[in-house]
Amino acid sequence: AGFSSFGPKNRHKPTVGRPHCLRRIPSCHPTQLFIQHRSSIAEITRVKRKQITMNSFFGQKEEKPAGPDPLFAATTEMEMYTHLFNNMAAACFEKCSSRKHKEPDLALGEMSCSDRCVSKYLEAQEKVGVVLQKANEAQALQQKNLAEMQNALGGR
Amino acid sequence: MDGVQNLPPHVQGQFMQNLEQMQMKDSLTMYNNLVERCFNSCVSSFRSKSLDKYETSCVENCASRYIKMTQRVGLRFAEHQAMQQKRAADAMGAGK
Repeated sequence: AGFSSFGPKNRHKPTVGRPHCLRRIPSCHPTQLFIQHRSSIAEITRVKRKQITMNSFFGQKEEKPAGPDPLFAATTEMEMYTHLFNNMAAACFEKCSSRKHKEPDLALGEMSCSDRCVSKYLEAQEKVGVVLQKANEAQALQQKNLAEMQNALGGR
Repeated sequence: MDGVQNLPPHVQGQFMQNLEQMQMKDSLTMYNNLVERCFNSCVSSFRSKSLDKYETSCVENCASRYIKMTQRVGLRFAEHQAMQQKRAADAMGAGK
């Protein structure tokens, strides 16, 4: 489903001006993945569950992604996914690979460890998102009550 | 990915440009982080000015393993996203 360009040989990236060691970085960078994905996900309509996750990421900034500035929202969303991917890769590498680095290839145990690490990380992210959203809602409710109380006191 | 899907067409060009810039910046950042990580985990003595044989192979292996792991993580991440989209789309379809 559009993952065929994984692998070390990717000759479509521009190589001018990049250090030599970067020329063969595979196209598994998150932004590449999402470009490949766009055509398949463009048919899927807005999703409520995604919106909950999105709201929990955006917190108090904006309620809906297609808000005042869609370019900012899209750029921020892409940055968020990039950070997520980088942090996830770093954490799983730290937790799953041995320090000796004797072999250039991953061992079987390390590979299955990284698969599990990814799914646990994403699950943890969802749970944290839910907790954050609840905290935001509670805070918004508290602020509303405070404002009402001030209005009631100020009215008299 | 709602923000990306629902972009009006006239900002899509600028978004793609931003995306490319972000990608370029990110690969350089990743390069630096990788160097730091492999140096920290492989190099511990400073008896000579250049890397010895063990340290050289350790650094090279570290880099190649990190890249392979990043590939694998990216693959699983994309699968997870696709599954989540599919599940949510089914839920939407069933709701209607």
